[in-house]
Amino acid sequence: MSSRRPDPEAEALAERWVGLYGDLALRTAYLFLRDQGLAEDCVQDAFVSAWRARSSLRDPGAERAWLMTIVANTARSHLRRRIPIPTDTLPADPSTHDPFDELALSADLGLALDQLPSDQREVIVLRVYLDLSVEETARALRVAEGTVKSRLSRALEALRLIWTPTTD
Amino acid sequence: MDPDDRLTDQVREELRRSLSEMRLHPEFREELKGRLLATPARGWRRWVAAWPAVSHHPGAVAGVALAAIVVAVGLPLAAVLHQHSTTSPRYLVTISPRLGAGANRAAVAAPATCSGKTVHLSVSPARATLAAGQGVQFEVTETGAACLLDATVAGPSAAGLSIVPTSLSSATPNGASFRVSWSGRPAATAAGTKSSVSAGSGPGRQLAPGVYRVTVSAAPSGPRVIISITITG
Repeated sequence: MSSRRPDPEAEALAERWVGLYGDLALRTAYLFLRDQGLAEDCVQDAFVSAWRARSSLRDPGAERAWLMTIVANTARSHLRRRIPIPTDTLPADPSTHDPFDELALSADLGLALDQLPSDQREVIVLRVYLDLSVEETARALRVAEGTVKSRLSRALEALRLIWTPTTD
Repeated sequence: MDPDDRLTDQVREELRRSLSEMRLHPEFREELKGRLLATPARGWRRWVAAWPAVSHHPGAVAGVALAAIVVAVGLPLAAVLHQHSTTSPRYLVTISPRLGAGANRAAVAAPATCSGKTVHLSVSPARATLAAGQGVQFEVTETGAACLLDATVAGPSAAGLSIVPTSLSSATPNGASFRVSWSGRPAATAAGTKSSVSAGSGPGRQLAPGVYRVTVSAAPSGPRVIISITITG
């Protein structure tokens, strides 16, 4: 059995990543996947991928954006692999809606986001929730910066019609 | 302020407010740190870059390096994997959803009761694939009705925890044994028993003969518990 002691630098880095970014990564993944269990799986996969590739992070100041981009892309990849839920099994009556889905995200904003096309929802998560720059968002989504701006504009336009912010 | 900017701020604020309570569970945190520390960084790029010839003929050297890696690592690895696949069956471990509305969802809202009231149990991860000697921890979180800590939760056992071979062609799981324990409790209950699920039952899945159902009968000490499963056979 191996008794190799972990490198103190690596230990400090793991501590920092999980301590500083773990919760944010979980919430980000949740916004994509809407399922805390899947979000936790996603965080684990994303952090392990990032850990393997950590030598490719050149600018320590970009660590948060870099890590969250990996989380977002892992979540998108999880979403693509996810087995679609047949719509005829979903409850039509909101009173029978599974309350489990709404524990974390306020119901009205959650429903509003659900109505957006996935590309607009992604921009909301990256650009609005994570507050990534247009450039960082474009890099994460592998699209032009102009595309980020136009998607965000359309997303906000749609949200304005279907969501009313709470005033209290 | 620009209306778009105002809406952006409102959405950001609402998202942050409503998600502020969502946190990684402390045990998951520790597990994640351990997982990172056990994962080696990709070192081959640095190793290749350190070779002086790379700076002169990067393309050719990278090609040679790649070929060398394929020969030196790929072939033995393929042999090991082949041997592994024939001698070590892997098992898919799931805690299956039973609720009608959520039955097809990957995340589980399993029916359970506490003092006669229905509570929901979410299970994370929803599934795991294990080989003999490997283990997994399922975290079960209770939501819904407030449940007194000393009440008995008839929970995860009702969720239908099952362990099946991932491939119907893999070796029969008859020799496998399972250990299930509750966190915070010394060597708690667990027994693997062969269920009588017939082949072909279950949504969209051919269940092999030899499906195991593990019944957990310990009461949890709090609203969050960990189920550990190790396949030992």
